[in-house]
Amino acid sequence: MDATDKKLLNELQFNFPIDERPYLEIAERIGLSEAETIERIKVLKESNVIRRIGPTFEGSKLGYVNTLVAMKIPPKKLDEIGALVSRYDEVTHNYAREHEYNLWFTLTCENKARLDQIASEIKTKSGIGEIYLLPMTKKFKINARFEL
Amino acid sequence: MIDKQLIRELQADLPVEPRPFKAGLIEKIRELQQTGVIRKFGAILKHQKAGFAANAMVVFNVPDESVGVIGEKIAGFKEVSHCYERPRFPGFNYNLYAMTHGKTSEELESSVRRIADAVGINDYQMLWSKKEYKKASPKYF
Repeated sequence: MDATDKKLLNELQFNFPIDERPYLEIAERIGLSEAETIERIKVLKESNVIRRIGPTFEGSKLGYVNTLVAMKIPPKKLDEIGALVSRYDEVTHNYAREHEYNLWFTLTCENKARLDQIASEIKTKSGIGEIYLLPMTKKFKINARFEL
Repeated sequence: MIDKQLIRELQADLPVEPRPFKAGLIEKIRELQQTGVIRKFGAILKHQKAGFAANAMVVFNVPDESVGVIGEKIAGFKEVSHCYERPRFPGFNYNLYAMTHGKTSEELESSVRRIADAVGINDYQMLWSKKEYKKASPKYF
């Protein structure tokens, strides 16, 4: 990744134009041709630096509910239960963390009933009695963008 | 009414070609931005690959009455991407969560110490991510 890529990634994250020729606009801002810009973006996608280009929705405006979940899993079973959890489309983030509570994941569901259903299924399938749903009670910041 | 078909369509990765938006889509996206249904539009990076190798969920035990003030302060640091208040639960007396990102774990540890000092909270923990099992965008409809 060179300095031009970094500039390009910042433009793609922070100033993506919703216009007929977005890549041309960005190309002009950073002094490249449109073809070269497109080529660089393709490389950044192939190497997985860019996960996706598109909208981020405010889930609550679509009626969706969201929560963080914490579980305490015997270390030997962590990978297995981690995989079980990941299988749900509604699970968007799922991490093993260094703590007594060692499995943390987020659920984004169409409604509260579906969310409770998944939590209860995970409880049954994993055989782990305790599962803590931790929906946010206040939001201070949400900005998963990285200035390079 | 939510146009579910439109939301479904918009979740496809935007093509990387000179004219990536289908006819009529630009106006619809702008509308959804105005109503706040779309929070932002652009590239989503895989942060580990973008040079942010150290990532930790930091949890603070903040007196309930100061969560508002302290949450706002913590949110102001550039190392913090997300900051939420969440309920405490048995064996876990923390109520303020911050997702933090740095280039190295040493650098991130010192950043978090600086943040904790700045808000005067020393009861906190960094929960390092040991393994990423999944990271995906939510699927709507």
